[in-house]
Amino acid sequence: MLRACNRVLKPGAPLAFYVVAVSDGLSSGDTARAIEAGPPHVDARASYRELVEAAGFVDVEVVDVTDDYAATMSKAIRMRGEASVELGELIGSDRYVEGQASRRRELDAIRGGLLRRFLISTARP
Amino acid sequence: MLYPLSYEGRGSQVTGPGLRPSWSRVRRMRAGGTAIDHVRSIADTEPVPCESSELFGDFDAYYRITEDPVMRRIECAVTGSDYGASSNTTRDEADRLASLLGLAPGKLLLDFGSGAGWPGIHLARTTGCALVLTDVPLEGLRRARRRMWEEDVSGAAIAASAALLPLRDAVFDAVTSSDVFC
Repeated sequence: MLRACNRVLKPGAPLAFYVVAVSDGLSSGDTARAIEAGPPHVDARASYRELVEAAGFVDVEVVDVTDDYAATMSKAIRMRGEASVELGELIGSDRYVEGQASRRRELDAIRGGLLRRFLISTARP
Repeated sequence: MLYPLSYEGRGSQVTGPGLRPSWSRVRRMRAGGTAIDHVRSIADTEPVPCESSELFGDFDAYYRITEDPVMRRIECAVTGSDYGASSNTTRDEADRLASLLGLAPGKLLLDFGSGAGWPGIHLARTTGCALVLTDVPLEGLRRARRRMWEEDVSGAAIAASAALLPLRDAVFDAVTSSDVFC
């Protein structure tokens, strides 16, 4: 994907994106737990700075926005909890309970340092 | 695989709810020579089945559910979006992208993995830039196309894998995505 982005950008043009990633330096067990708790696409093959640079981008800046990620996830859980009856009627109680449990696992993984979210900005040379 | 959905310029007519673009409109647009005209011109391709879209049936069901008032209320409270978004991106975070990307009228932005258009359409509406959205789930793109029209945003919504962007080299002034990369 990053190489495709590089190709379609004009020279010197910027790329900026938010991404959830598994924290660096985790044990294999914690890495597995992070992948299990994180969103479906989350992976831990390499740092995003390395991936972005390997795709030919320059001037890579990585900002950690994990605190905002935790706050957003926490608010999502709280708001869904307040609408539990309506959501149960809309999607079914089993699916509602399963979804809330999944979000709580993800929030625990964020607070436990297993998952992080970044704002990455860079440019095509 | 390319599965063009629509190409709608500011103030133009909607081509209709079907998946095929209006060929007469495409021919008219091909007469132009700017970057956005070129991006529109790739709609001149017979729509083909997008095999990977079959893997996203859950997404299609998700987008239908997001139109329920309770889901919209929750989304607005959590992120400030009302697009049926599945990303964690808040309105403040979206506005931060606009600044980083230097978006302005005359610029062309690509938002890939765009879902139903958050935050790409918001960015285009607030900065005046033109917009191309790409994603695989068709239901989200249909909603994005409708929202682009409602918000008078110039651009296109294309069903395509981000790894195989069916777009010409060096046409975009900026690229973004939210919680998509792997």
